[in-house]
Amino acid sequence: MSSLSLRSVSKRFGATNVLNDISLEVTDGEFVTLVGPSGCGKSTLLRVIAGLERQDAGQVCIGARAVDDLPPAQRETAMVFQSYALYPHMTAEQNIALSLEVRRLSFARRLPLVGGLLPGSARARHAIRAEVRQVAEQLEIAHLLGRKPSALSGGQQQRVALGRAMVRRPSVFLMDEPLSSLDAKLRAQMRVEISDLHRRLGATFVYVTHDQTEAMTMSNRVAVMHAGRIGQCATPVTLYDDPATLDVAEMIGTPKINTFPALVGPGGRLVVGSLPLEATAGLPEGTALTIALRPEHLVPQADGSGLAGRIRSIEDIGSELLVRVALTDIQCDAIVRLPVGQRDRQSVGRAVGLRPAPGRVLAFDRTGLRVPLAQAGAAAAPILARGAAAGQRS
Amino acid sequence: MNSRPVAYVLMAPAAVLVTLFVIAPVGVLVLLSFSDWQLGSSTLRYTGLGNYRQLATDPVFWVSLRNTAFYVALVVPVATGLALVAAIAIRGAGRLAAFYRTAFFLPVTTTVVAMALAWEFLLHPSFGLVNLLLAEFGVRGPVWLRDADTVLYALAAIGVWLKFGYYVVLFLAGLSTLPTDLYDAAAVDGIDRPLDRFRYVTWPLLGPTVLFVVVVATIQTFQVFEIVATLTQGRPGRASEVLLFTIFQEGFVYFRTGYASALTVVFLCLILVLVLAKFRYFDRKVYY
Repeated sequence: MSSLSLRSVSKRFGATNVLNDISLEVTDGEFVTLVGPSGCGKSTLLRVIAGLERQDAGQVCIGARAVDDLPPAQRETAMVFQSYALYPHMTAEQNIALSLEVRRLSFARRLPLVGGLLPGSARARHAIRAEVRQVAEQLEIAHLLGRKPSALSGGQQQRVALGRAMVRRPSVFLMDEPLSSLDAKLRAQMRVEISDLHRRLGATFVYVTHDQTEAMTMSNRVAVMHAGRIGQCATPVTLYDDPATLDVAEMIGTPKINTFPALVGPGGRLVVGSLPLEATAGLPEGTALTIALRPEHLVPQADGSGLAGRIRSIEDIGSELLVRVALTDIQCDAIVRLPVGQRDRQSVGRAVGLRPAPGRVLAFDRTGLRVPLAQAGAAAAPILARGAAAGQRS
Repeated sequence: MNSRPVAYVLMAPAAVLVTLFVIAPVGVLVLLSFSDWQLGSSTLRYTGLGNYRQLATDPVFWVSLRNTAFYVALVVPVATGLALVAAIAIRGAGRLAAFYRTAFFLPVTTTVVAMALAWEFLLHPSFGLVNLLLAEFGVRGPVWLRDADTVLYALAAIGVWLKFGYYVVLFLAGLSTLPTDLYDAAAVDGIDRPLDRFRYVTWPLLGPTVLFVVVVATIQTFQVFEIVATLTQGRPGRASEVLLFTIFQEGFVYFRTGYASALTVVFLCLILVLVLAKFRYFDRKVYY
C-alpha cells in the first residue's frame, strides 16, 4: 500500500496542453476520484500515473519512489479499463492469472507442454491457481472462471477485470471509467461493490469518471478537472457546499447549480436584479459578479416577495419536486428543489417569489474564482430586532 | 413492400458477368476434359474419363504436382512469416513506416516478367550479384536456375520477393484493428517484452488475419507461372515444372486441349478445397 503524489505534471499533445501543472497528493489507502467533462485530461492523467504515457514535465511518485523512469509493470499499479480490455482468447481464469504467470514464471516455463515439465513449474502454477480462485471468490465469479469473455455479461466482464487488477495486490488501483458501459442499475450496484472493495483492500484508489454521482458517492476526495487543471480537490461535501470555482460549482450537483448575474451595490451589498441580498462582498460598488445557489437554497416566499417569477414546469420525481421558475426580473430560469409536502401548493403558471436561504449564496468573480461574502447586517438586523422585541415583551 | 424485383435487377449485371466469364467457361472446361479436342480442331470425340486415367499415370503431372507443392511449402511460410515480422516492425518504425511500407509493396506493383529478367541477371552464375557476393565470402555459388537442386529454391526466393509486400499490407491492416487497450492492459500486467506481447496479444488476436493471409498466399502461390515460363521453362529436366506451366504447355504448345482441361479441372479442385477450408474455418473460428 502506498501514497501517490503528482508534482507539477504537464503533458502536451502537439499544441494542446492536456495536463497543465497538475499537483495532487493522494494518501495511503485513500479513494480519490478525478472527475470532469470529456477532454479535460483526466484519463491522460491516469495514463501518466500508470506509465502508459510519459509526462513532459513534473514528477510522479508512488510511495517514496519516483516512478517516472519505470515501465508500467514495475510501478505496482493495476488498471481497470473502460472497455475492460480482457484478452478475448483466454478464459476468465487465464485472464486473471496471466500477470502472475508472467511475473513468476520464466519464458521457458510458460511454454505450452514443455513449460510444465520444468522443475518448479507445477508448484508455482498451483499457487497461482489458488490465488486466482481466492480473488474470484471475493468477487463472486468463481463459477465463471472457465468462460471466455464473450460468454460473460458486461457486469461479469467488469468483475473479471477487477479480479485481474486485484490478484497482483498492487499498491495503487487506477480505474478509467470502469462503470460507464454498464446499465444504470448495474452501475449503482457496482458502485457499492467497488466502495466495499476499497474498504476491504485498504489500497489507494484513483478513479476516473465523468459521472459526478460516482465521484460523490464513492470517494474520500474528488479532484474536479477542467481544461487540464485541477479546479479543486476536496471531500464531496466541501465541493458541494464550498466550491472554489464556478466550474466546480457547476460540475457538482444535480440538477445543476443556479447561476444569476449580480452587482455589488452600495455598502458592498450584492444585488440581483432589483433585489438586495443579505450578503456583502468587500469589492468596489458596481463590480459584476455571478452568484450561484443550489436548487434547495432557493426558498419560495409565502408573501410573494423576493425574485419574482412564474412556474414553467414541475418535475415530480416522487421523493421531491424540481420546479423550474422563469424569473421575470433578471430573465433567467431557476430550478428550485421542494419537498413533496408542497406538491399541492405549486402549479404551472403560478407566480412565485424566491429568496436565497440565508448564508447559502455563493459568489464568483469574472474569472470564475470564489468571492468571500459576509452576512449583511441590514438584513440580519430586523430579525434580531424582532427577536429582541419579543424578548422585551415577555 | 416487395423489393424482390429490384433486387434481381440490381443483381443482374454481376450475375451476367459472372456467368459469362466464370461459370460458363468452367462448365465448358469440364465438358472439354471429357473429350479429345485439340485447339483449332473442328471435331471432337467423347473419351469419358480417358484424360483423367491418362493423367493418373502421367509422370509429368506427378512431378509437376510435387514441384508445385514443394514450391508452395517453401514460399507460403517464408513469405507470410517475413511479412508478419515486417508488418510488426513497420508498426513500430514511426516516421519511416510509410517508406518501408512502400518499399516492400513496390515489387507487387511491377511487371512480373520484367522483374523475373532482372532476377535472372542477379542470379547469373558468373556475373550475377548474388554469386559475386557469395564469392566475397569464398563461396562458389551454384548455377541457380540451371541446377536441378537449386532451381526451385531460387524460384521460391523470387516468389517470396514478389509477393510478400502484399502480405505485409494485409497484416498491417489486421494489426491496425487490434484494440490498443489490450496492449495497455498487457503493459500494466507486466507483458512488456516484445516476445511476450506477441505471444499473448498480437498472435492470438491476429489469428483470423494470419489464417486469411496464409490461405490467400497458398492460392496465389499455387498459381505460380510467369517466373517459370520466363526463366526456366520447367527445366532443367522437369525440375521446375509446375502445374500451371504444364497446363499451358499441354494446352497451348501441344494443343492437347482436352488433356489440358482435365489438368485444369484437377487444379481448380485443389484451389476449391483451400477456399472451402478457408470459409469453414473462418465461420467457426471467430470467437470474439
